[in-house]
Amino acid sequence: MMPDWLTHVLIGWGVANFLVLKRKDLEMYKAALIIGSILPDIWHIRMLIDYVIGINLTWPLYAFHTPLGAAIVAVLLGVLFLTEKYRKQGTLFLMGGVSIHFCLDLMLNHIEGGHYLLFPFSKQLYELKIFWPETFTYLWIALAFWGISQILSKKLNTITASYI
Amino acid sequence: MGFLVILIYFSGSILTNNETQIGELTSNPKKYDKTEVLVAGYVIGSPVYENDTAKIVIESSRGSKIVLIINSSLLNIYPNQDDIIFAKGIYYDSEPTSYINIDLVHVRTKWGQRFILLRSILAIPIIVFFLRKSRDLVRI
Repeated sequence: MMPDWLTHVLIGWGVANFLVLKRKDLEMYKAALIIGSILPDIWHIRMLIDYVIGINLTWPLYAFHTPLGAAIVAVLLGVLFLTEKYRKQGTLFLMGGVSIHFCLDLMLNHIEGGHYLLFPFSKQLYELKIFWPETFTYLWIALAFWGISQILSKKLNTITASYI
Repeated sequence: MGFLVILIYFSGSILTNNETQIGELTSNPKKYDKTEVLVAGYVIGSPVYENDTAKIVIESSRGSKIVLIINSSLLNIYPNQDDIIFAKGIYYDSEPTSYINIDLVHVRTKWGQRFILLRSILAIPIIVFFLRKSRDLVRI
């Protein structure tokens, strides 16, 4: 089990806000970072496949929820769907989002198991076991982080506008 | 690149055999044996409390019904129907009904499960918003 997508998206959005505070020209890559922050969870498509055609692809698809698998998917998405002008940086932001995703997943607590961070080189499971996924604690922290980033962004916009 | 994705997909199958899956027993206990196990399952019966102990029948993903004997002091909340119980302990197969003595337990309430799904659904409009906002970035 994972943190919910809202937590992932809010943290991704917050990080993107902070990056834009530093460099305004990165504004357009916000979407790439946010999409990247939920990209490893595409493996949950297994539920749809299981529901529609009754084939359980849990373990084969789990490879996409490993850093290497998700990075390859990010590069593939970048090559296929990003315009040439923004491809390089867009892909980097997708991968940045993927990194954020795994950082958040790493904080979770499961009764057994963790995340295959080094797969396929190692099958060691890693987890910091801080938050139970179904509790709201993680979401409140994400909301606070996002809220602070939004306030700072608004302030910066106001200051910039007043100079113009 | 497509080949690499396919390769990653199939390499994931390597994970299948050796790792514990939630709801599965960590090993196949021999008859009349006791084994350390991990079990997760839905509470399918209402708890019955006897001397501060809750007996809960859970059904593992394999379909086997297992009686959990939980000292209620181990739980901060009392499990209800449809909650998920995570249990780790010793599995005894020598009794008429197999059972587990718990040394570690976690209860995921049915509302906890529903909220995870609900919160994930709430993220979709945000993603769509950002996708629409960055049309220059995407070529479709």
